Amino acid sequence: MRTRSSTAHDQDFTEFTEASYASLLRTARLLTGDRHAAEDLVQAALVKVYLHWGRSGSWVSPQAYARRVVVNLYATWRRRRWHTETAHPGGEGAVAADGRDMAGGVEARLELARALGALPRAQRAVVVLRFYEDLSVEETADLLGCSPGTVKSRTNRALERLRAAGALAGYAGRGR
Amino acid sequence: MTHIDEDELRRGLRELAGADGTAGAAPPTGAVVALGRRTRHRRRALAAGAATVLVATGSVLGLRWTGGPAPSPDSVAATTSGSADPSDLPLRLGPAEPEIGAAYAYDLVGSCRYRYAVFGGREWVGEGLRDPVPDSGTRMSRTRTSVVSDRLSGHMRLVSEDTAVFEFGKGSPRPPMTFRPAPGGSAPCPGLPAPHPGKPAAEEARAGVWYPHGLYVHCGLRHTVFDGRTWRTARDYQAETGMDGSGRHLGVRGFARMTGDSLRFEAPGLPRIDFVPAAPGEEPPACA
Repeated sequence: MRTRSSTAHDQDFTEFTEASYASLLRTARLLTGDRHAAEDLVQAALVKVYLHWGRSGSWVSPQAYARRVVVNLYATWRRRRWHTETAHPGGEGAVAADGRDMAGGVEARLELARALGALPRAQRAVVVLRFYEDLSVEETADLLGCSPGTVKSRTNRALERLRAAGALAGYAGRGR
Repeated sequence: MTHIDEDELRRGLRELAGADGTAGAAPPTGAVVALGRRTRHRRRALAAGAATVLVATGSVLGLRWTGGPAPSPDSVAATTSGSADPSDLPLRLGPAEPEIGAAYAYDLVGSCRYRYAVFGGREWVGEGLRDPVPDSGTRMSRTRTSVVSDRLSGHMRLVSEDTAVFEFGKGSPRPPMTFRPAPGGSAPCPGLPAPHPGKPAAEEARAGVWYPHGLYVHCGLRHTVFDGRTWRTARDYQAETGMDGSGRHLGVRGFARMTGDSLRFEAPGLPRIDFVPAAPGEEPPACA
């Protein structure tokens, strides 16, 4: 195991945080449905990563480790004091930061946000990991600590619910 | 679902993930490192204390200590679906011991025109909002749905020991609100139940409205007085909250809200605590 000074330890961690924060925040944003809750979630996850950063040399990917912590915290946050969920899914997401409507689909995004928010948390996590993070069934199962069969069934149920809710109607025929 | 549907879902998720300026957010590296250092320091202190106790106990009992327990890895627990009622979501009140300079997600509640905040275990008073704002319990329209608003969301930041600033969510035109510690620990607000612990409150509290409330704990967390009534905990929270009494007097600042025949209390760093009406004549027991 490497022995590093506290300064180097913090410097490495700072560089990692700056490089990965936006990506983690986007994942958390999809999981929580709310920007502020996502910031809380990622901050809490990064504190955990910081506490284990001394072993980061043995990690295959610090980014993957941090993502795992984000997802695990999200799954257990009902028991945590800092937890909250969105009351207005997608409300602040109607317009991009620069003021333009990113895909001409404010309503489409709101519909998708609402449909995602209505999914049970386990199904929402599977949807985000499979279709946003593009993880395979096996990778998703490993990250969530369940069987590939469970991932498949949760995926199918989630997709059925999204389809039934018409959550993807606004995206049909666009961007292809 | 076809592959086309899945592609649409991927496209929708990418757009949704990048909405509200998430891509350009600055990482809270300083706050994370500060929190991490403090947590690590606390854990080491606890481990050293526990080791001392174990060694001392082992010496007395003739047991041999073979080492501390390994830290449990993060695990994925069974998940549940989210709450459908926004007003049922826990209040975000920040940690029990906020760092100066760090911003914490915070929900400002509507009682007394948003003048009160409980942050870092203290009660704070701001200038409040002068323009018409949705009061607690008001049903307001938002896009095509209707939600219950009993809070305003934003971030609270301790800028000094005696000044806290609340910033509204991104996109809000409202300027930040400055809060100062309430004189004497709590400030009067006409029409509110007396927030002082142990002092009988007037029967004025409105259902569904959050009010500043001091939970007074002595000889265990069992009872509180609110709206002129005595309430008892709906279940045993003593192990969960660490408020096992131990003969110590303890005042905890937070917010309380009545809904029907239940009273909910929330405070920074604590789980939700639910109370039910005490039986007629039931009074907090005297300490042994």
